[in-house]
Amino acid sequence: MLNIDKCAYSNNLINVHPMEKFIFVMVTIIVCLSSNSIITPILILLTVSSLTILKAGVPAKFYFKLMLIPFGFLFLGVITILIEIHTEPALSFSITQQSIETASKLFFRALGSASCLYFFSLTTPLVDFTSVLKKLKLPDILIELISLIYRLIFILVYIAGRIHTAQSSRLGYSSLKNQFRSLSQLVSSMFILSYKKANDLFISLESRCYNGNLNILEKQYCFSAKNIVFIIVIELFFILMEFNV
Amino acid sequence: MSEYILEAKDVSFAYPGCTKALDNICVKIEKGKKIVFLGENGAGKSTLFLHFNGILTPQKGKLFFKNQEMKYDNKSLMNLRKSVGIVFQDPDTQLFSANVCQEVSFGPLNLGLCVEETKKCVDTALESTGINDLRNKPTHFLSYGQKKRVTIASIIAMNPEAIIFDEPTTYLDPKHKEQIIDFLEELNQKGTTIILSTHDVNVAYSWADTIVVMKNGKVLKEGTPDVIFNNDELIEKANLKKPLILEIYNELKNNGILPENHRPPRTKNELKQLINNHNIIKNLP
Ligand SMILES: Nc1ncnc2c1ncn2[C@@H]1O[C@H](COP(=O)(O)OP(=O)(O)O)[C@@H](O)[C@H]1O
Ligand SMILES: [Mg+2]
Repeated sequence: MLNIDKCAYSNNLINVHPMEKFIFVMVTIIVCLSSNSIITPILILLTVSSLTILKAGVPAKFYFKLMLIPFGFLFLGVITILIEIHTEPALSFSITQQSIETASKLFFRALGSASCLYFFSLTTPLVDFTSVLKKLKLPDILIELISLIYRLIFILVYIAGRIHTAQSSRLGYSSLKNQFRSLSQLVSSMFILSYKKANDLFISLESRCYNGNLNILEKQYCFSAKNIVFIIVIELFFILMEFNV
Repeated sequence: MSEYILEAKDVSFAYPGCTKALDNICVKIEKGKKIVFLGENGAGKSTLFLHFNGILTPQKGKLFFKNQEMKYDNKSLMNLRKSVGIVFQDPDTQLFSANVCQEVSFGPLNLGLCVEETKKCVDTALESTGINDLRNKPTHFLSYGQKKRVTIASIIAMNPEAIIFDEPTTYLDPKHKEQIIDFLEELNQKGTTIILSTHDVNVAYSWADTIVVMKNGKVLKEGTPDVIFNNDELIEKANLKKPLILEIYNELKNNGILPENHRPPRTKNELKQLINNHNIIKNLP
């Protein structure tokens, strides 16, 4: 999770308008999920993955590791579709042409969509994502909650790490019994600390004239005609592939 | 007559379920000066600072802002916090935003500045704290020292008349410590009143105009660095140490190497000059 975030800030597409990325990803996912062929999802998977690796400059090894996560889940899920279970006349398993087709379609549709979501989260920092949400007219309270939770996650991860180190250095995790004890202490101190952190954060906001709205300056982006043309062309291409095959 | 920007009169305060954190505090903060608060952990410095910013309200006594009694309605608080900024000790509890530029823009936007003016304020604040290159960095990938500077920038962007720094130099390496102190000096030269708490007696001695010594929620003494640090009883009582420069000077003076009637040196350079002027090293046996 921390690494995804690091990528989001250091990739080559950071200066592309987040709305462009968002529209690209949403349209591609819709095309991918509503596709009935197998070619389109595969093409989407290949295109989006190569965009992520070649254009955005996300390290290939890191990307494949990330893709392994949905891949694993899907693989297990798809097996149940692939193998048909018959109870008549006797218990038997079979793989039919039909089941292979259904399973592979499902598999690539889902994987293609996952690659789209990865593309978005690997190239768009949360700040930009919230500005997209703002443009989509989501309620402010929701957007502010998202950004605060996001910021606090990092603080909590950091604190948990520090407490964990402090405990380990005193052999807190050396035996199973110790592990349970240390972990319970870690959780309870996390609870108290997060309460205190939230309180301190509120004080510091108050001292800067907080009035109930987290007003912040949005980064300014320009729409690029080139990117928009690219999005239209590639989406048309995906859709055409769908009907030709 | 000198002008006071902040004043506490007989202020007492206790946190729920605790003994008194502040006990009949009387302090006056002169405009445009550098005021240093000294005192061991738990002396009540941070609690007093929160009163200066209108975050905590005194249970007894009164606070004054520019000779007017502090009021705690929204408008008065806005006005107070616009003029008196506070940089907290732990930068992690101050930074709420995902990126530096946004963090710094929060204060000015709350003051009702338009986007253009806010941008200008943010630019100046980032420039003067030397973190322009961090402007689009995410806050959680910064080092401690960088975070510290972002919190300072986020207050400077609001252009306050007085800034309170709660232990600004703890955890910093010597180089960054010096940078921050130099920076505070620069701010002060431009007319900002600087209030800070520290455990570093050397900084307090060479830098402050006025020192306030606190212990157990009380003000033990308020005075110039000379007065404070030549008061051995006070230093003992407040668990402070003598600044190194003063100690060396006193040693030289007591052994008759330096004349009695000299003004004690405040900085390392002044001490060096004194030593050179009196040819102490050449006269060594
Ligand atoms: N949030 C709090 N809740 C309860 N007690 C507190 C809180 N903050 C500080 N105190 C207590 O108030 C006293 C003064 O603390 P503080 O103002 O933080 O001192 P200093 O900043 O000089 O170290 C201490 O005894 C401390 O334990
Ligand atoms: Mg403190």
